[in-house]
Amino acid sequence: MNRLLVPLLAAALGAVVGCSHPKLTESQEYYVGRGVAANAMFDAQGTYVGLYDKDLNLEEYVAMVGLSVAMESDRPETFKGYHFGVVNSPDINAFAAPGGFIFVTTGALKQMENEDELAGVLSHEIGHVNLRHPEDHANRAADQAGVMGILDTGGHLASGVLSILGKKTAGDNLATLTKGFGSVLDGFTKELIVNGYGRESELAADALGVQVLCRPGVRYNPNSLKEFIARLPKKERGAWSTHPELDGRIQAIDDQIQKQGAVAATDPARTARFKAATAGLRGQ
Amino acid sequence: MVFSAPVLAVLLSLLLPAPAQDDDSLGPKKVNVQNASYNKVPNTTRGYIADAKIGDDVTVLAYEGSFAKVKRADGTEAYIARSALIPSEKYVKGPSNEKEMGELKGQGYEAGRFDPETEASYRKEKGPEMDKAFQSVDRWEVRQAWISQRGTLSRKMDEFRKTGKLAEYSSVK
Repeated sequence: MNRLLVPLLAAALGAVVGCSHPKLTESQEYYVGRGVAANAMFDAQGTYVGLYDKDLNLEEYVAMVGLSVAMESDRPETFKGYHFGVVNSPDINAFAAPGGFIFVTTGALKQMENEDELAGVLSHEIGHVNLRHPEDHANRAADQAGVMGILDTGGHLASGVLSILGKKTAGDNLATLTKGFGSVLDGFTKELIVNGYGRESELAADALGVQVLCRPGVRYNPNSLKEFIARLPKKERGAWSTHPELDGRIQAIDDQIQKQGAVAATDPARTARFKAATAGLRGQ
Repeated sequence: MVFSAPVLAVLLSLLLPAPAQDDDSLGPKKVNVQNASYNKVPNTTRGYIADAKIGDDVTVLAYEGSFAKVKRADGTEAYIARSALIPSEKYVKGPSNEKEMGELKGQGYEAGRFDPETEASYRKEKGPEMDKAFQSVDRWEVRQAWISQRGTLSRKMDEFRKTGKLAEYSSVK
């Protein structure tokens, strides 16, 4: 077959398949996001680790850094707004769930040297939200779990209707929906935390993240993202090791930075407040 | 039959559904997020005028990047994030039951099937540890409720930018 035809046909089929089911609504994405957030509070062994809420000033500080970027991004509003949380895990990781729930681990924060690195990592995750990667991922997980079939055929049961239909019928259908909901969450969480969104999506999130960092309403140092990634020892890269091959990724970030013109340097005032905010985490 | 590559590309493009586009239409829209703000300028944390609430009616007059210039129900003009709006005809009010709407505190709009009831069922099925995780999410959302208070947030963020030498306080213009 023609060498050009193969990718064209693949693209055509992919597009048709991709459009074959309805999208989750924004509020459904919000509830999936809540569910992913809850599932993210368990470590790989299934032990509950939860949010690092011993230091609420740190959580608020992370949120302020995240909002400084998110509010200047292409998608400043989500169904219930952005939320930024610190997961109590030694793994070096950060991830975005549907609806704008964004997490960074205590392990990642300990590896960072300044606020601009934190902003860089959060901007990458906000890039995913802007590009709707979590929503696409949730839709794929729902598709794989056969949930859209449930929604399309017998699942037209809003909560108000359930209460009218009576307990038994409501219970039967609710069980099906619960199973579907659980399948989506299980599939999504596992893929997201272990594998990320895939090479192309990760690179796209990097590129958009750099652009947003450099916007006049933000002005963080965009080099911070690559500096953070490059500094991580390989054995401690955790989930970042599943992100695109690092040398190529850093080069792609560099290329994007070159397109931005003059960029801000890391400011000592920001580094000082980062050190103060994370002092408790570092046992200082 | 053998087609050249360009001809094939054209034929295939005709078979494909049009890619999803941002809604560029002007006219009546509804606010479809829980919390947003009306601002004097196309920015969510500068020039705060008032909170925008889910279900608000607006008329889009123009678009500027990620923002829409709108006429509000009271006739005043303001900017609001484009991602906060949905065409009025696509806006779906969820449960009609007033009691349920009260319980959902507005979350019932377009809530569909992955709603609080499904979530509650999932929590119950998964057991106490998962319920604990959801309770942690609940507390987290309550803790970060300050983000939805846009007037306060706007002032707070300006101070944060100032002390961190960000944005308009940066040496890079």
